[in-house]
Amino acid sequence: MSKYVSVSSTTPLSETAESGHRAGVSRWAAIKKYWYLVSLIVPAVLTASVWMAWQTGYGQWLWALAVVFWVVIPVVDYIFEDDPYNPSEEEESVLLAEGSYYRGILYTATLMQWLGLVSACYVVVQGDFSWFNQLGAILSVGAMHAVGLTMSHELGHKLNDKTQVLFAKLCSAVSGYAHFNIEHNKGHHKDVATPEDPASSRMGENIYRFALRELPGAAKRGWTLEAERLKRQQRSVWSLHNELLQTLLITFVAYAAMTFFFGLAALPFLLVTAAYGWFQLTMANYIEHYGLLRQKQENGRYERCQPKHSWNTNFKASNLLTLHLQRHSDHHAHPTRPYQLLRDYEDAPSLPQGYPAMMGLSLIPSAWRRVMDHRVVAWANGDMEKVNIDPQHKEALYAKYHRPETPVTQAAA
Amino acid sequence: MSDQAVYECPDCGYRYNEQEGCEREGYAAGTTWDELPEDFPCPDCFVREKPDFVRLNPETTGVSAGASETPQQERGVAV
Repeated sequence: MSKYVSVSSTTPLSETAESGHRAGVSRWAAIKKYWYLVSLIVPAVLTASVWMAWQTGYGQWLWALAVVFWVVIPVVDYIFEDDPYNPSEEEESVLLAEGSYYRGILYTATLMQWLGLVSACYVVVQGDFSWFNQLGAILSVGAMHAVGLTMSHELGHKLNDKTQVLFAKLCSAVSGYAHFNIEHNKGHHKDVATPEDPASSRMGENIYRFALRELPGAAKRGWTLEAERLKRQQRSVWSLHNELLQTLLITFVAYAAMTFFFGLAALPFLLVTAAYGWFQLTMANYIEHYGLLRQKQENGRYERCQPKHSWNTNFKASNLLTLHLQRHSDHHAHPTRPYQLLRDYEDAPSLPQGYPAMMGLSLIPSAWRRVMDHRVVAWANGDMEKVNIDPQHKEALYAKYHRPETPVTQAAA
Repeated sequence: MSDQAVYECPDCGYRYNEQEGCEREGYAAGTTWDELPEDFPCPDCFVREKPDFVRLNPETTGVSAGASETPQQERGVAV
């Protein structure tokens, strides 16, 4: 039904691929296909590093993935900079026809994340590591959860494909974020960049206050949306048809099994890492729409979500790692486009760094606002009526920035 | 009025067929377009709603007959 379902092509693509000259695909597109495998580094590093910790007894290994995420990726981003490539229309049809390969990466990632969680849990519970190195394990597993939810996010948008919907649940279940796939599509995407959306941050709102609004707000909205759907189907909300409960059940069984087999200490470890993983996803949500606002039209509906309503970032390395999640402008304008098709928009509002660096920055509210507030003002051309503002800071922000008559350019700001 | 009215999402191409409804979202087969709520969102992309959908011409189902009337100004351009 969807136009993004892989198309049957008159060109026998497998043949052309084997000949080494894939029809209609540029060299970088052909190479990039394999570079997406970089996203599997995250669960692979976790599994390998906990194995090293187990074998050598050096607990410092438990920090490996946290260091990769927060230090190595930003540095690699800095070195390799932007990815200028957007697929042409001809290339798009090839990328779509090869959809099973791109979906295969997501399925593999899902299984590797389960392996990563089980092995990390076993090593931490059964090993004898200092509290400091256990903290490293929590941050590492949390980083894997956050990247894992990126994969789940990609899968969860493909509601017309039962296999991807199933894997989205399996993938969200790793960190127990059961409402995510429901809430994200039917809630966040519908309401994005409006004051009604708990998952769109407001100018002036710091990450910690945002988390207190977003985490419960999204969970509540997910439950409400699922209850409404089940009501239309004339089913009980407390049935196995409840997709939120389905995901939660997978988590419950897996966490219970690990607690039973590895020891009671597994339970707090799993719960703390899951909660931290959710918070790391919250950081991503925080940076994606900060301050951006869709205008309400005369008919009472919000204007459509356009590329300008999401902060975009086009760094090569972190985009491969997150499967183009950072090409967020195109994603929100056309949410069912598969990741390999997402495009960069040169004139979309742009974050100065990739997600890992910006997420780190968000933890220091004053630094975040120093970097981002003037960008929001430039985006709105100095008209604070066009900004999604935190009511607590409205007066101060108007006094400081509201100059609707004198447009500011991003370069000048 | 055809008894097989089909409406298409102008963004993602999802098609609502009255005969099939959309069971997964709780709209039973045979639910007519008129019976859907005004805020009915596209069950695939959720960024278009009932008023945005385009009715397909029954004679040319498979071709989005009314698509040219639908503004898609943001396509490929960040406004």
